Amino acid sequence: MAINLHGTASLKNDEVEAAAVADLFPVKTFASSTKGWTGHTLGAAGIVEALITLVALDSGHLPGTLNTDELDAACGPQIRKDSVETRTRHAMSMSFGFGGSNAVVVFGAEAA
Amino acid sequence: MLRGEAGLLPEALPRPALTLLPANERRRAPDTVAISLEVAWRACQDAGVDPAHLPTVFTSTHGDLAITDYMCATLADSPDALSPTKFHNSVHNAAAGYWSIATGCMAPYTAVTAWQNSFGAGLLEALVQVHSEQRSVMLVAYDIEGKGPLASQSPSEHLLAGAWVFSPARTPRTHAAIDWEVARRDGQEETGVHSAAALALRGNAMHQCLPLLETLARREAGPVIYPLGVGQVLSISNTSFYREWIA
Repeated sequence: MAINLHGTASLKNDEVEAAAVADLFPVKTFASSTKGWTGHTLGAAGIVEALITLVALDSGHLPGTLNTDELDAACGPQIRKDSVETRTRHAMSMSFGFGGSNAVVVFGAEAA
Repeated sequence: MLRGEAGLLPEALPRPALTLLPANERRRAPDTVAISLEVAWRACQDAGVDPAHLPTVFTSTHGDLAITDYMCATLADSPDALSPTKFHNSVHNAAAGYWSIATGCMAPYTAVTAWQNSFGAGLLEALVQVHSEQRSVMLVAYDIEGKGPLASQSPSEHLLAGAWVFSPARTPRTHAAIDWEVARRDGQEETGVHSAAALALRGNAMHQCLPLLETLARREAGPVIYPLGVGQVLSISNTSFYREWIA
């Protein structure tokens, strides 16, 4: 499983998101935020990151978290700084909006 | 006033008190939030619906022009001094977000814009949701005045906000029944306004909400025509009138 995090680099968002990922997913999960590559495209962030997630699932290239040097204490081993080449059967994209307008989509490489 | 039977108010109304929000949020809330939450609250009260379970569509041409001007000026002059609160409030869905926090609403909301067609686009989104989901949806439309150099590119004057609760069937609180359709644009002109009150607000970027308000207030059938961009219009007809508005 690969996860494209909301990962805005705002302290509270990243802390809560990292804790949720650490609680819910096995350590081999690959989780990264691609906002370091694209910037925060605000209202377009959900669709931009969903497309990046689909490309990652299709190509096997999982982009890391650009411009992150040191991980916060809340981050488990799931949170990755470096990109890797690996095939994954499922990839998930998480986007969170002001006031709890949140959406998470899971894509599969094959029909479930 | 929208019926054209009364002139303008002698003086400007004060900014809404915004009692819906906790005191600290109330002080920090920008004008966009103050006016949109006020009309949203009044629409829910009028319709007798619980905002905690009501899906909403917020539409604004420019979002918060004052904060966008602040963001541009601060990023140009002293980017490190950018206020995190202002950044937080700069997003297009800020008003919708504050509404969902204030009301504890867990129903879906969305925040749309489509430049000069923003009201028609928001109205279409709300009506499609009412039709496809067969549940009530509130539309909230607002724009504030332009500030600084941005005002030359994104002109808008005054504060203007309107809110409507649309339901799939008539309720005891319903004011009017409407028919709507999306049609090919074939020479139909965008509907104008007549009352002194509506004419005074034509400089606001959300002035497109005024013809719908005016025809409802005047109990006219319409249709009210909203261009939707290339080659299409949204046409709204008031087919029946029920409950009167309280003046």
